Amino acid sequence: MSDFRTDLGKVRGIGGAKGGVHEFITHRVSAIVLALLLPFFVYGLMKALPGGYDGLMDWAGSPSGAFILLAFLSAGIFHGRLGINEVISDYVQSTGMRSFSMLLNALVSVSAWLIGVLAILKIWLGLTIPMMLWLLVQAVLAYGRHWVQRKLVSKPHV
Amino acid sequence: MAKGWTDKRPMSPHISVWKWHPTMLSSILHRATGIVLYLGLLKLAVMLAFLAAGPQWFAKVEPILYSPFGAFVFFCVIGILIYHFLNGIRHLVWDIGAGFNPKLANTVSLVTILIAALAAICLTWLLTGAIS
Repeated sequence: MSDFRTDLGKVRGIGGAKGGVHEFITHRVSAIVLALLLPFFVYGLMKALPGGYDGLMDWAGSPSGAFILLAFLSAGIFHGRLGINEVISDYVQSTGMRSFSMLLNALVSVSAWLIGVLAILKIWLGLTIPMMLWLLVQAVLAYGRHWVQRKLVSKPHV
Repeated sequence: MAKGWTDKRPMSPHISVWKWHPTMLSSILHRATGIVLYLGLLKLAVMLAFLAAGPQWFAKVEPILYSPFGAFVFFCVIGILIYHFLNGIRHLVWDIGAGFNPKLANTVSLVTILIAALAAICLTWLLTGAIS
């Protein structure tokens, strides 16, 4: 196959980003998950909102309500973070500002997800803040062990 | 217009001389509603935190949630959510390569916006009816 790229284009690095298939596919998979969850979420919200504090607590405290909220919030923030990243990479022109915006997006997304999930777990399971922090530390440690094993112990693929 | 453009001659079709059509409107709305829904999710997370913190904390946000302004926000966000949901399904259909007929695509764009607006009106009416 012949090479269609010009020399100047090669020097400037113009061309495909050489990545992004993962983002493309997970964006659509999370969209399907959200589309399936949305009717249940809207129905639950419509039922719970008129009940005020008690109605919302009953919804978030029931197994089905907590599941819908956890799944919708998680898939939603995952999907939204990918979408916002796409908007950033479309409109923010300087590399530094783009990287900064995406980092900020990651921090805001993960923080909001954590706040929401911890709140649902507290309502649903009655976990106290120290118990949740302990769970969080355990999760981070487990991920750290997994990461170390993958990066340092396993042989690199050639 | 691109930065550093010095040529005084008129430019060929550009973003500012494009004829508006329904699919263009729905595409722009999809992105705009997506950004608003992300903010809506952040609000959901914060509201859940207020709910989990206890009745005395929820009492601080309850008057705003159940005010006419709260109903207006619910109307906007639920309409936007349903629009993004319907148009998102259309995007998934587009992804498998179907529904590209211009006439059909334009009709679907307008119908989607109309359904979302109607659903927002109905749901807000139902909710405010159930509260008051």
